Amino acid sequence: MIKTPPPPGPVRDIAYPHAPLTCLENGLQVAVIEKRRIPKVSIRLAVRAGQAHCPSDELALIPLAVDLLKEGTTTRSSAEIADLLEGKAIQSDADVHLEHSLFIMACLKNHLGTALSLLSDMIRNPAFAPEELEKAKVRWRSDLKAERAMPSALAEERAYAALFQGHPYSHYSPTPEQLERVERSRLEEYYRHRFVPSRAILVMVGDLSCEEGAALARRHFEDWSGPPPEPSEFPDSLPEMQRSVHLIHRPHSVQARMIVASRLFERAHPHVLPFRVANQVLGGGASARLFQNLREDKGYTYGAYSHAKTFRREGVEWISADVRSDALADAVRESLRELSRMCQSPPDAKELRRALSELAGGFLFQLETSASLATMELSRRLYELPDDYFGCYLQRIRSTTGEQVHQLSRRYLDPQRYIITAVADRSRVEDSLREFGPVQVYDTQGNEI
Amino acid sequence: MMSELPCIRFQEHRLSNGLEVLLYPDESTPLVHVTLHYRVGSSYEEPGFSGFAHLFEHMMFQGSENLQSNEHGRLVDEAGGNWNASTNKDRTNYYQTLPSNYLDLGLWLEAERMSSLEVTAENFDNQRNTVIEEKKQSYDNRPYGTAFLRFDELVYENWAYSHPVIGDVEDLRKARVEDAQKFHRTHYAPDNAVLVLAGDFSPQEALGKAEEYFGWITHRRKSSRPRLEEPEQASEKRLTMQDPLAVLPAVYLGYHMPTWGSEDHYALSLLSLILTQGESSRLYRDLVYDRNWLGGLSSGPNNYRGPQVFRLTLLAQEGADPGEALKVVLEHLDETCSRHVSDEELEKAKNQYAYRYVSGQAKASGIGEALARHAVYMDDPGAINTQLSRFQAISAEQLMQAARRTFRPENRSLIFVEPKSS
Repeated sequence: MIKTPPPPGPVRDIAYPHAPLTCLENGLQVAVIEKRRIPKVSIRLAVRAGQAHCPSDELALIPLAVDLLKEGTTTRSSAEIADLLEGKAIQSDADVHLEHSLFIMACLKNHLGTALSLLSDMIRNPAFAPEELEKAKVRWRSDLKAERAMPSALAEERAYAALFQGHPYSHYSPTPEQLERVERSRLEEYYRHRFVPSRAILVMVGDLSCEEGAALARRHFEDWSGPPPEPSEFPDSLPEMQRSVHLIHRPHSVQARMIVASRLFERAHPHVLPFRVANQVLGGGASARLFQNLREDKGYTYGAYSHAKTFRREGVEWISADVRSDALADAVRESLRELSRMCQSPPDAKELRRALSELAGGFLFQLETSASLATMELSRRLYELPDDYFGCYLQRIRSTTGEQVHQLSRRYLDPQRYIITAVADRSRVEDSLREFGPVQVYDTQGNEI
Repeated sequence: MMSELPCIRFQEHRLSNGLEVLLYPDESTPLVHVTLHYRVGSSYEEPGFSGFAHLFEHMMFQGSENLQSNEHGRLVDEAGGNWNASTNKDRTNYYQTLPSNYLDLGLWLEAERMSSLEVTAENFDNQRNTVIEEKKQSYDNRPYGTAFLRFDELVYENWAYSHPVIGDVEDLRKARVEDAQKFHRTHYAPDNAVLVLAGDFSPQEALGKAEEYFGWITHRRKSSRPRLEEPEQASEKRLTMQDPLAVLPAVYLGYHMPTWGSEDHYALSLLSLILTQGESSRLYRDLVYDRNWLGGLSSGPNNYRGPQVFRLTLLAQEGADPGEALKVVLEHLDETCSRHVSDEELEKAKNQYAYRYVSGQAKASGIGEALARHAVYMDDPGAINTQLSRFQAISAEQLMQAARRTFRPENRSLIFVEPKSS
């Protein structure tokens, strides 16, 4: 009978699968990964047209366009599309991200042809029928209203505004006025201009060979056409980060939502992987410093975490928690203290080992299914990451040292460069937030008050 | 028709202390799923001790001879894995998925709590209070939560299935530490459990490790399985209840039907897809889309091991009359008893079922859990390999016959939930 936890055996690593890229003549990039365990295929089609690409006074254009693709093409009605999807059990979803729009499908292998032909029809021949546009506006109106009731969305919107100050990365949700203003002709013209094959990447993972995938892509997408993309899309320069404090007054809030955030490097930056280790030590899970301090030790919150998100030009490092209103200032102070602590000294050996194991384990889980592999491969292609990015992932994570973590923390986790955003009832928190700097107060519609 | 599904090739062993060990090797990802299903759920409880099976799920994280409270989860987290547990009417399961070089850790952790769980007055009291709070949060303080608990009480005559998994607060309050220790001795024994390993390992080596970590745990008194037989229902049962937390009226219907894995189970599972799955399903199209009387609906067998109930949940739309909506639902059910579903509908349902089934096998952990479920529910883990073909073989005639046996007025139970009038 053994008294202590048995040690791990030798690590068995796994190679990232081969994913050859085909480029069609119209510019569409196609990546296929063969994964045969079950007769299923996961599909991702991303078009580099996201919220950041919308003109800043027309933020409803892309969300409405993407929403309408499933509501009818020039040859199929909305009901016919729904029937076809359900009849063949084809799972389908679409979402607008900051820098791209994403269409997700999954189906059994024997329905792959139907799925691709439908996806191609929806992308190339949307009807944008006026009555469907009006219905979509009604749906969006109530969704946007619901969003403005959510503390997490309000805090996120304000944090992006403070971090990116007028840069397209600050685009969040359309206003009700922007939604109403959208006209069918403008929507269609904008869509035709933006949703073109040369801005798109198609990824298929599952029960198919690479040749088979490339041939299917050709059959269904070869005659998709559109103008070539314009060069350089986003302005480069952004002002230096410095501390600012933003409070969204949400009357009668029983809790406070807190975001402490700063700008970070871009997705393809060489520090991305080693910095993940620093983030994991700081707030990557229930054993990390933020959780241990803010929840286990102080009891301010049910959970506190940090995330590093990176985009094509920039990124953000992000601490968030829902805390007791009376503990908001304490929670902010402790978060800033944890940032300082990261800058002062390297993590101890046990902390580092834990962070490395957690990240390595998380990576293995991602390799398990065709859906998560498709998401990984898509991000590799979207951000033009090196060919060996995932192949060397485990090795690069495991070889990260405490000293590297310390150096990166000093560079990216300086608390003076972090902004503070909170959503709460101002009467309960405003005075206490002043210790971090002058407080700008907004209403839930985003107006300064 | 569908591409061929690979057969799940697994090994079946039994240790000398009675522990059933199933091994499903799959080297495609260096992960291993370690799951233990104990043949104990709320149907194994005795009157006066309701909620014990679930309370025990909590106790199993409270430490053992060589582990502190909550250390189990922490060690799995730190190895880069994930873990959880759940209790239903028929079984309690505990699992962790780990990088495969941590297989020993997973086995050791489970053997620890099987062999030397620490039940003290302090941690028992603490977890009892946690469960009472959980009941408040998950049922008492949620719209329709109380109706959910009342449903089985109304439908089932046999106490084994009629009382809720979460238990009665009075029973929980009066439980003594000795009762809890006895419960562990009776049910948490190697001969009352199925251990499944699924993932990246060599079967021979893994069997040796299972023997090393679990083989020494002594065989104990075998707990007996509960009697689940349910008398034939003679007349419709109805209940109306007020729910101050509900905003809209709801109706819950239940019809008795045969056990999990029976032919009617497969037929009625397909029928539920035809009735309520997706926007093109019969009830959705009529009552949600065309008439706008319902805001949401769902249906299907309740997936109990013994006598099952086909459940239908109808959530009324604002301003709609739930009684009128119910009438239309009953007409649809009658139609399934008198006319074959169309070929397109049957094919759609089979496609949807096949997609779900195949997706459930995307991960070794999914296969591991399914093997354990077939072992515990049917005493036949190999049944995993015939499930899809049994669904695919159902004909429109079989569907209609199953509907006729089930959707009879005298076999029906109904709960009407009325929101508190403002």
